Amino acid sequence: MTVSHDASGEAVLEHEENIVGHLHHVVSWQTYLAVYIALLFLTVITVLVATVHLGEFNTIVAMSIAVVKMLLVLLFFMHVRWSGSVLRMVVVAGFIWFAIMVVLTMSDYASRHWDQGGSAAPNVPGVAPVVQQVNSEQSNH
Amino acid sequence: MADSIMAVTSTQTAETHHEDPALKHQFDTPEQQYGASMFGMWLFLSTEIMMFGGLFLGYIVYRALYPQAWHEATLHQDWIIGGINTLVLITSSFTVALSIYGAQTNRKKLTVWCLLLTILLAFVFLVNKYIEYSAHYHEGLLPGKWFNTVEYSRQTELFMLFYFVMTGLHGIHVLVGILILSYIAYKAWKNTFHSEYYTPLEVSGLYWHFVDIVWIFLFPLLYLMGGVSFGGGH
Repeated sequence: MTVSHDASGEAVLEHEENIVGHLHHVVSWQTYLAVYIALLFLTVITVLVATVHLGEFNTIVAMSIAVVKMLLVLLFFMHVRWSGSVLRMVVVAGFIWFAIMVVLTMSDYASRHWDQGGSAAPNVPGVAPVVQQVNSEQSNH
Repeated sequence: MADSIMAVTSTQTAETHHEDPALKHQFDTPEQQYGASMFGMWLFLSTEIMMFGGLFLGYIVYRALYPQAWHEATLHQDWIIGGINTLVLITSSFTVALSIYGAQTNRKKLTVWCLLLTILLAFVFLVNKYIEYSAHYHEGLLPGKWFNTVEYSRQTELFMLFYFVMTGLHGIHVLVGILILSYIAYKAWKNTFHSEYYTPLEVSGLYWHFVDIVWIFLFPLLYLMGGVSFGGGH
């Protein structure tokens, strides 16, 4: 840190470092190179795994590798590893809100009573049989 | 008491402004200005997560409803071009990271050349995307009146709709990224950035890394879910 301050100025500086992280934190090019090679390696792995038929396990492996790659980019390229608490909170909040959206929506779809045949999916995209049932009940009255 | 503290602070601020031309008048210190920029950028990226998140959610819902159709539709994708584009974007993220390193260590040439390389890679990505899009069009896989309903199911059309909207929105982000990085490369060339000030470069880098992360998820979801074989890309 090259910026010099008097006593009160330094107090402000330390406080803000804790919130957003270090100003001018230099990450070495060797670190970037290592992360880059890891990302290339994981891309090759994810393609190779897709050549093997593992059923639903394929999806789990592919998504796990994607999450690892995302974490590498977030932590090192985007400097979250060296950032302060407020920035980390914003990063985590974005993903938590996305998770809430997915979990609530999928809990609805997973627990929905589709049609009498008990098939998991309607035949026509966008037209849910539940709506058709409600309509037929109304016409009976 | 309070007035005297205020007075001291304002003299300090006036002095700092004379020292640092990059410091805008509404901020007390370079640290505060940097913190505000980073916080604002991450807030924006959170809204981006939610925008792409809506599309990812739609993809997940319809994949759960039509697993077989989703599996088969992925086979129409050329995973070789998709894979090359993944490597291209990862490389471009690496060059953006290096350009920030260049600014931090006062290596202007490294910064400018890395940014130009990033822009070049972004164009390579878009050219590959164009090749893919035109192939889909000729195969009758473009949703709407162009879609070949004789050969493919309506559920495949739904998958292709997700494919075009997701990669299209991502492609627009790449296009915007080219514009932003071109401006940043120009500013870097004009000696705007140095080891004490490179916030616009870092913030633009965050945007570019986000675009990379979106593609890191799009690649397995849109290209690899049906499995791949080395007998040919199709």
